[in-house]
Amino acid sequence: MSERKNIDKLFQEKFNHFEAMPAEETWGNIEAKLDEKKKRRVIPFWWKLSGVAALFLLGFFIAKSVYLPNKETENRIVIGINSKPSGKPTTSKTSGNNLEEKQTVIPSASGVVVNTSSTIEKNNVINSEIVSEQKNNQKTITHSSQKAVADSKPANHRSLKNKRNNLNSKTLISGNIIEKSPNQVALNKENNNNKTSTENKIVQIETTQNNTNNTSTITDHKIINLDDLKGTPNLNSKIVTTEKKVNDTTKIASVATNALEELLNEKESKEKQLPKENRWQITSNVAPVFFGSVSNGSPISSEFENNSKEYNTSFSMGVGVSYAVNTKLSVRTGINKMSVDYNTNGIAFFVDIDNPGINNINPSISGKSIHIEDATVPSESLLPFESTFAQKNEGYMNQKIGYYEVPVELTYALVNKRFGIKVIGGVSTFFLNENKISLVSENMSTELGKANNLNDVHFSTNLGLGIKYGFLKSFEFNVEPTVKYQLNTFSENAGNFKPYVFGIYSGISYKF
Amino acid sequence: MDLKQLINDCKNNNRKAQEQLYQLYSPKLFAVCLKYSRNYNEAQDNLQDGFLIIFNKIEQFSFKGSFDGWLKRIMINNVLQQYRNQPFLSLVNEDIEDDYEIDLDDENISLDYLLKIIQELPDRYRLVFNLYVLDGFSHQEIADMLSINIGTSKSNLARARMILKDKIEQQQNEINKTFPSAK
Repeated sequence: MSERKNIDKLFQEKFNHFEAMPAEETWGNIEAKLDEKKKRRVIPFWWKLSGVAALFLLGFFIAKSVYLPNKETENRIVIGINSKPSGKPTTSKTSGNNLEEKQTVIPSASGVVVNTSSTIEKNNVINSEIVSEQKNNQKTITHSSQKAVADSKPANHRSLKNKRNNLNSKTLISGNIIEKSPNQVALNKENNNNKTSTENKIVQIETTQNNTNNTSTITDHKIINLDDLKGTPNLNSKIVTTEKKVNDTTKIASVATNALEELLNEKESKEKQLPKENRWQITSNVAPVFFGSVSNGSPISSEFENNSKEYNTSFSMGVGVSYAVNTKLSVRTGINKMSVDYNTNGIAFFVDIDNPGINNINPSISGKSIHIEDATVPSESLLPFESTFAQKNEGYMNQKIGYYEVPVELTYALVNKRFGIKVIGGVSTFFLNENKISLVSENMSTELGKANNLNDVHFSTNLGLGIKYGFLKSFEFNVEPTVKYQLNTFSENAGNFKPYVFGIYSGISYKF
Repeated sequence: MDLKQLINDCKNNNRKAQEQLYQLYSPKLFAVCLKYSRNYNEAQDNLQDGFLIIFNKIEQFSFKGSFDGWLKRIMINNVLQQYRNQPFLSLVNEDIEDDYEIDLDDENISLDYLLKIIQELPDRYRLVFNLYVLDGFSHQEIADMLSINIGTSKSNLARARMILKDKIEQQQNEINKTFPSAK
């Protein structure tokens, strides 16, 4: 037994104050990993919360303008100033430097005290709160703060009061200093003094601005105040609780801070509730559709590749249903009916008995004997005698294609409030239901036939931007400019024709 | 320097504050790692991982209780995590770092040597010995921490002591042989 004890004791004694320096590169490694983590985390964090943050900011400014009458700004200043000196790293030692520092603080502090009687009241409450914690100077402070109340009611005798308040604000500040954890003694005192005086100057300027009721300063004060709220949470909460004890004027300030929290809570709860309630949405839409090709080919025949094309605006209409996966992301599908058509200009046609026809057209009965060619290129197929009696008509060829479209799309909301912006991406499946090629000239129009190189089913990739505006309770108005790039419209011989469809899909949707 | 301020800065991910915290506490915590790890290199790794955990979790530190204790608990838990689930190894010395010296201080035994023989202990023995003898945990606590039962903890401790005792005696004998005049 004694042996065992010795071993324990030996180790305990030896390791009692055991410390060891790790290798020097260790911190570098840790830092690198911290950086790595930060980078990895920052991006998704932002994506997720940027929307909320933006809304919060917006709400914050709205709330501020709504909840903040003039009186309250004064209250806020009191908070700002009281927490200001306390937020600074100063020492509680009464050295010469510190005395100086206190005196520089005085004018600004007392300047605010003079502002209105209500602020003074509160100031005093704060004072007494601090005083209660500060055992040494208790008596002098309560005494002087009472004086301050008495003095401050006639608002004219500022200078007199300033002097009298000297003692009060001095002790007030030292009280704050004591409250603040005073560990940053190591800092250069002179620097401190410089800082305090300059900051106090700033505060002073702000207070004077406030006296002229300059509304723009309100934001400044708020920012300062917020910083203080963050920086010294303990102190702040103390002030807030004391404010609650006092009735009228102080309530406003605490309500305002609570309003921020409420706003945040509201937002969070909304975020949670939203997906539960209105996940489904039905939409109707109508769109002017602009058909086009990224290249100047012709799907009818390579002969017409260089002919100018004229794309007609047509319409698409449809209904859709969407399901919100979460507040940002939703999946949707639907059915649209769409038809597009375009003209190939510069066509010459005439009746030709021995018509070779065009490969990509299945001619109708009437179209069988019509010879079509590029008007700019002289015909070689015509026998010399024929050209004498054949009547050449010039006009254009119109190809009309109609589809039923079934889109499957994902939308991601960038902004999702009453007004919203979203990105749309997806694919559409097109089912061919209309296929017609006709010839049009000045005085006649003839159906030529059907294109035989159109796929019955083809696909497109869709990319769009949606803008919505909510009205009533669960209705939304949507405008969604979307490009649908057609992937395999033609089975073969597309003749370098790469069609796309651009539609401005607008409609009304209903959430349920 | 204000510790509270420093901690708050660390909570805000202030890199300078984090470095300061590291400089302040790494000697103490590295000592913990050295005691609980198999060798110097693993101790380094464990220190690194431990600090990453600390900076991640520092937000949760609510100024209740001592910060030192909190750091140490995190570091110990981190190390336990590393070795708790390791298959139980027999007494094989895989330590390549062979950097000990026979130091004739007042008790003839150097800290380095003691550290070395602790590190050479099989994982479980080492953990139990450290937790019980050097960090003052009870067998019940150790049993909970390592998911073993109290009896196992006790017998592991006894074995650890035996091994350590043997090694110290062995070393003493060697010293006496080499320097007969010393004793």
